[in-house]
Amino acid sequence: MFELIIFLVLLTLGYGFGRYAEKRHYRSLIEREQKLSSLPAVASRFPPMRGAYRQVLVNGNVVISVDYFKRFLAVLRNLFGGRVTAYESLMDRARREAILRMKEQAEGMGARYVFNLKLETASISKGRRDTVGSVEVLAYGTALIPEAAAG
Amino acid sequence: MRYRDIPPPEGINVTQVHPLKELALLLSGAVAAVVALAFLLATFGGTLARMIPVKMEMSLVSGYEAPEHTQKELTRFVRELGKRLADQMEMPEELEVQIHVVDDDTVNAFATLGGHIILYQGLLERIPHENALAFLIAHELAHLKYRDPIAAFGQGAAVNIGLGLLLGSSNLSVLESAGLLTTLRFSREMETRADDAAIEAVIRIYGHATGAAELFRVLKSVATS
Repeated sequence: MFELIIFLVLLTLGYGFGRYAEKRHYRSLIEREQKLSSLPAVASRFPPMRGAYRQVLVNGNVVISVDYFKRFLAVLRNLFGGRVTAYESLMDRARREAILRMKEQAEGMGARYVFNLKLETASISKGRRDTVGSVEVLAYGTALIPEAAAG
Repeated sequence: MRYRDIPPPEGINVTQVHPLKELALLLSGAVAAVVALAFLLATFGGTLARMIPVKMEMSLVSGYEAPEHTQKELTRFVRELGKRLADQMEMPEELEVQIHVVDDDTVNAFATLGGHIILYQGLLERIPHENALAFLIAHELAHLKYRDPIAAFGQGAAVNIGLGLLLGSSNLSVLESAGLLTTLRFSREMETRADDAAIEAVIRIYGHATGAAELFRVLKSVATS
């Protein structure tokens, strides 16, 4: 009985805080993405032929953790199969946040573009038992800074 | 500008299902599965238990050593009678029947796991003659023949596991503990079937089974007093 109460409390806390954090994060993501939309990050490996640019490696990474509620949903989902929708939004947020951090770094250097954008993910807990599941997303690319702007 | 960054449209990489709705759906599915499993275990536990090979049942309770009875002659007589009856009853081949007489006033007798039959001195003293004793032993042998002890035990264990699943208790120690050699509860059908087989076996040896009626009388008088 006592265990059940603890479980329900954890589940409610996970749901409440998780939902709140997710909503707030999405608001911030959309706002910052708009602000940084003048600095394109593209996957192309071939920089523009015209103009002289300095090239700098820029990267942004983020580690996200799963809340108790999402974890419970995912465990249930494991029984039946199908889309783990609980984790989809987490991965979406992590990917966008990593790109934004990379762009923020590039913007600080006065870059005009980021080329060769790449994304990598790594599981930090590696599915070990009794550890909090967390995932790292790393975004990296080549920032192109106009030579004139470089000081 | 040749290179442009277009903000990603919302709702493509994320499935828009309310998490609580998904929780309700998954949880009800899981609960339904557990309830169904518990129900199946409770219903078919006995039938499943009968499928356990005799050898496995024997090894399950191999550690049991019954206390030697002081009256060696009585034990030997009872065992010989049991052997004669067993020869008439088509017992399972691998089953080794062991009859024990317990030096105790309890008026009882029972068959249990691993082919053990326990007869209490208290009951033996009240039995009027050999025919009634033969019927008593044949009745217990019939329980062993139809594998009623393992079925009753399996049924009980299955119900316990089912309840454990439902109540979420991880303590499924019923399998180890659950005094293997205590009296198991047999259903009315099991008793009737054992009586029929016992009467048949006793008639084959003695030509009649009047002892059955007398044994019932003894048991009834014990139950009422």
